[in-house]
Amino acid sequence: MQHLIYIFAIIILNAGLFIMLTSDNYVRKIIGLGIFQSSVLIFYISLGKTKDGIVPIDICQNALNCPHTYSSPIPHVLMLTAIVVGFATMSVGLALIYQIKREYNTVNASELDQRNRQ
Amino acid sequence: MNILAKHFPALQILIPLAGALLATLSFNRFFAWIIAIISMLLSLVLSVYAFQLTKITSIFYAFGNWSAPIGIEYRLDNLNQPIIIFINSVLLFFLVFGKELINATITNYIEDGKQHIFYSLLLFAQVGYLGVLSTNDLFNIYVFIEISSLSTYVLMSKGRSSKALIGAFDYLIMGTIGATLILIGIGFLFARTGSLNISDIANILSNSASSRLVMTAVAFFITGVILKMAFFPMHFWMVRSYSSTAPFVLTYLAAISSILGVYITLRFIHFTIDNKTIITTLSLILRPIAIFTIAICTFLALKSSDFKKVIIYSTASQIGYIFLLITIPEAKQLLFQLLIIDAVNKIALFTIVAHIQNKKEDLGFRNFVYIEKSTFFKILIAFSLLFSSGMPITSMFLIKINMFDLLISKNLITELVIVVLGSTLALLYHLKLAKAIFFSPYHNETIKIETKLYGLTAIVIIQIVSLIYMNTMTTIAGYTTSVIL
Repeated sequence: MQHLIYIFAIIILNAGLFIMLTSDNYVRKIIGLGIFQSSVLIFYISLGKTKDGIVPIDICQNALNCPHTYSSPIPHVLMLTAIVVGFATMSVGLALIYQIKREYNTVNASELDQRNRQ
Repeated sequence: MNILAKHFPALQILIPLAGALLATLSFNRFFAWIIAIISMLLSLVLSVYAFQLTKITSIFYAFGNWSAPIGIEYRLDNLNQPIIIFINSVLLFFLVFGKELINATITNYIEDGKQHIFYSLLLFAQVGYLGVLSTNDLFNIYVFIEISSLSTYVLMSKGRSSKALIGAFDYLIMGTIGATLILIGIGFLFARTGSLNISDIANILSNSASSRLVMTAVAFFITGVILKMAFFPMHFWMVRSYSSTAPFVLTYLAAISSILGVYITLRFIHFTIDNKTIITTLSLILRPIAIFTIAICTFLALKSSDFKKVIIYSTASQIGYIFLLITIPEAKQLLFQLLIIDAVNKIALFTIVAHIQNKKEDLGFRNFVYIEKSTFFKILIAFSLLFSSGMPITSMFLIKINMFDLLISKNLITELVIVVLGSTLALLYHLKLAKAIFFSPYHNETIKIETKLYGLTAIVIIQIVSLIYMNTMTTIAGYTTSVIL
């Protein structure tokens, strides 16, 4: 049962990849990209979780005989960075889509292909 | 001077970063150009100075005095410092000699008041590349890859035709998938070792038996790198986005991206994993793909009907040669010679494309432009085509001969046949390029090259110099010794 979360991450990863590679509309591609990237967040954060682990805040007076187990804080910190990176990528992507819409008045890949072939 | 000696690993990256921010605030195309040149000049001087120090011993720099494995650590040694010098000089070259072409082919198509952003994006991309090269922390590598990619997407999106936007968007999708796969690979290694520091991971892995987790990590990481580098099955996006973007920005991007991909692969395989079984398995998988890349991309280059597309496919096929050399451990010296010479050749070819496409957008062979008068331009083209085709007595020829020698001594006959065939066919498509330039019929559209040719002249001189001093350069860089790997 403890591996269920990884299977969930894999499902999300594949769903995102599928949306990204099969959809015709650029906005949908970007949505797929967001889903794809969020699977990594789940993957990393579940790596840091330990059994009975609590939020990694130091609440013990004496570190030597502390009754609590902490979850690892490192994956959380890493994913904070990854969220920012994902957000930036998405912004750049949406800005490109906006420019494409202004130039061609469409954001469908097949229509754009057709127009470029002419 | 003391600060320099102590903090140069950080300063090397912070100077272009500061330059990028200043260039954003300059609100003027000319000032942004000046700022970019000054910061790259400083960075280059610093990296040459640092090279003296890294030659003696590898330098580890802990950021904010948080020593590894907790903090982020930079590592400069004789593998990455020469590459840092090289990419700094490529950007400096691009800025100094390319001002006219940048203005004519790129910034003129950006709205007024936003043109200075181009230079700050260039510097941001440079910060990303330098960061990937100097860091000794896997997650940091991912972050820097993303910094450089984000700026690259935008750099690629500007050009004469608005098709560049679509190419840049394709690149964004594929590049992000690649980077995310790299991140997943790093995650698996983190799950195995609980560390992100490359030296620390290598230490932990060497003391334990190899596990499936490490295999998975390698698989994800290498797939990501292959996607980012546009290695064979994934090369389609590169052809699409490169062929629609402004050719001059490719002199910078195409020259650096393959070197960076190779560097990441080497750093990951030999410094992080360093496991005999994994390396052997990996080379058995990579070698056939490399052969396919050489065969198919050379074939496509021969078949394509567009001047620029031929060069792009030739870039893609060079990635095949590079990957073939990665899989052979003895070929490190040759690999770096090939990388540098290939980068210089690509700079020359894309500069030529930029000069021509500045006058005429369509470069199809059927109605290729007739170039009027410019004799000097044609002489330079003749030289750069000669050098890039690998005709006898050029540096590429010497490299290819060494490569044949190596493949024979390693008993890799299939690879040898493909490499020989690929090199011969490369002559043919270079002939096609030469035919288009020199023997285009008079009744086609006529253009006159009015842009200044300093950049192209300089690159041809560099090509000739590199032919004479090729071995000296690799000796100075320290790639002849087996110390690095």
